[in-house]
Amino acid sequence: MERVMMKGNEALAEGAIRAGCRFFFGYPITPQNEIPEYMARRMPEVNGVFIQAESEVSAINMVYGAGGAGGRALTSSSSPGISLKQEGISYLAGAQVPCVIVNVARGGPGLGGLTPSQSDYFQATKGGGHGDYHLIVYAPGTGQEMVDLIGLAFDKAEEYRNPVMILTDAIMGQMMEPVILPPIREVTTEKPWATTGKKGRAKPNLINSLGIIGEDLARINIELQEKYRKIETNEIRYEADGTGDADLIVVAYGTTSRVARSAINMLRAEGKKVGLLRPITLWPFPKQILADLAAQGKRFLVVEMSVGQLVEDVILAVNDRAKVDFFGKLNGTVPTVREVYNTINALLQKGGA
Amino acid sequence: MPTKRITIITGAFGSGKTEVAVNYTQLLKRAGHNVGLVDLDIVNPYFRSRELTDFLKAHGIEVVSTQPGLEMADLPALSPRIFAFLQNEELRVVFDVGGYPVGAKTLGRFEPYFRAEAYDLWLVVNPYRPGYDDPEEISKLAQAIEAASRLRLTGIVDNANLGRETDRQSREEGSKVVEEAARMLNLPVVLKTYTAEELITPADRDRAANNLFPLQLFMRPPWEEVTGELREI
Repeated sequence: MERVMMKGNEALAEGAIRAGCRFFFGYPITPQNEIPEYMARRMPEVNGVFIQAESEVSAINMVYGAGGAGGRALTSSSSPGISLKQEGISYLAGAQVPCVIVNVARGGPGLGGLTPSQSDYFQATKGGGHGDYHLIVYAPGTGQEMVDLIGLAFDKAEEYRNPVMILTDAIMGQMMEPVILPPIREVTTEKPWATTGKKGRAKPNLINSLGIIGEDLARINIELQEKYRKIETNEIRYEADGTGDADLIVVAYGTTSRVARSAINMLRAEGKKVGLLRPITLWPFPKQILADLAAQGKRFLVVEMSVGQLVEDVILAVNDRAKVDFFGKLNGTVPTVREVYNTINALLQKGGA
Repeated sequence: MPTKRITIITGAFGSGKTEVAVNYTQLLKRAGHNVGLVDLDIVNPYFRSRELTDFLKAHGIEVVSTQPGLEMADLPALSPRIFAFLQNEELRVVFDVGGYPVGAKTLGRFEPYFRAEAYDLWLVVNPYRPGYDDPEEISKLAQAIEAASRLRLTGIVDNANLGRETDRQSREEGSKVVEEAARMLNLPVVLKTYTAEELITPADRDRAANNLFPLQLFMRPPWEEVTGELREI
């Protein structure tokens, strides 16, 4: 069958397989368990490796090994598990190991709950671990994007030798949508840096994040920052829907962008000029489009399943040129279409002030 | 279609068991029965029928799952009230079972009741779920579920769908796979679901003979619940 009904988690797992991922290391945690479960069954079918590690820390370091040796490596977890992986993620960024990390986020802080949440935005986009580093962060908005973006994530990870994160949540991971799967890809990327044996070279390849000698650390950081500027220039992705004639633009990603879109469709049907700006990359963040829309006199409403994290990036991008309002729900609750509809309506009635 | 007092709904993960179970309780209720729904899903804590406890209660259907207060916990715990449901001969009981053989295993605990009284054990099949577009694979799943539950299947529920993208053609193609699997298993298709009138094909026209079963979807993502409330039935 060309189209299949897949849970978001399954779509991520099969999407990774189709993109040539052959190494999965994970540790169970709700609400992402379908990913390791799927991989445990699927990896042997494609001569891949599935390992249930003894911990999240162990799993992320297995990713370091497999990614460093040039394999397409994946790990997945959910919020508390992603916190455990942060040391390893910082090392992966420092050693410039390509890999993909999936966070199917749940409510926090601490052990939190099983409900969907977007309160890991700061952790995903502002570092999370120690040091001056960035992950490329994709936020899928549909089941199909789960498949497509995880494929892109592996390509970009290798292109920039940088870890890439897929940030999604319990609702997106558990909901089921029809998807079209691409054929399995052969990966032929040259990786002259990978630790696959000296093969006659004078110097061995070394995957390392240590910069203790002389100016080494400064040099590494300059190199990283140059790479991040290149990513910011080339890799920003977003969807702008009806922003051209809109008076008010909702900014949201993932689950809340779906809820917002339903509310916007209702308002549009009533002739109200409302648009949606959906960041697909959360880092690099689509600053310029927001700045441009602000300069055109638009106002913004940020909708999040958090007390306000994405909203800070929107405020920075808009830089006082436009009004930015916020509608957030605390961990454990999802904004309803009616709530977003009412919030937008109230703002429209209040006018531009 | 004559049905038994106890109906057990099984199937693969994500095949639509909960939608079928919840809708089937409504059908029984409308037919004048006292109905109880047992949510036996301890495989995955999302999109389970216990989320509809208040709604179903308002429609006169009792739901039992785990200890009150722990409904949303990720715990493999079951309420002893399930035995009360089984022992109440005035009650039609519908079991909504967790996915795959691992979900069906929980039925083993109630085996003495199923041995003492005829039951219906139905397998919900959506051939658009990955791995189940092949009648052979559906048959294997059926056998594995029978082995895990120590029970015998009595019918297949044809739930061929692509969600909102279902059209007549995809439903018809899916149904062919399900019917082939039913033939291989020598089981009747006891229900054939549809979510909209426009999906009905000429072949379906005799609704009773085809066991057509209208499905109202309850397990919707938040962006499809415009009012945040469920429609009245």
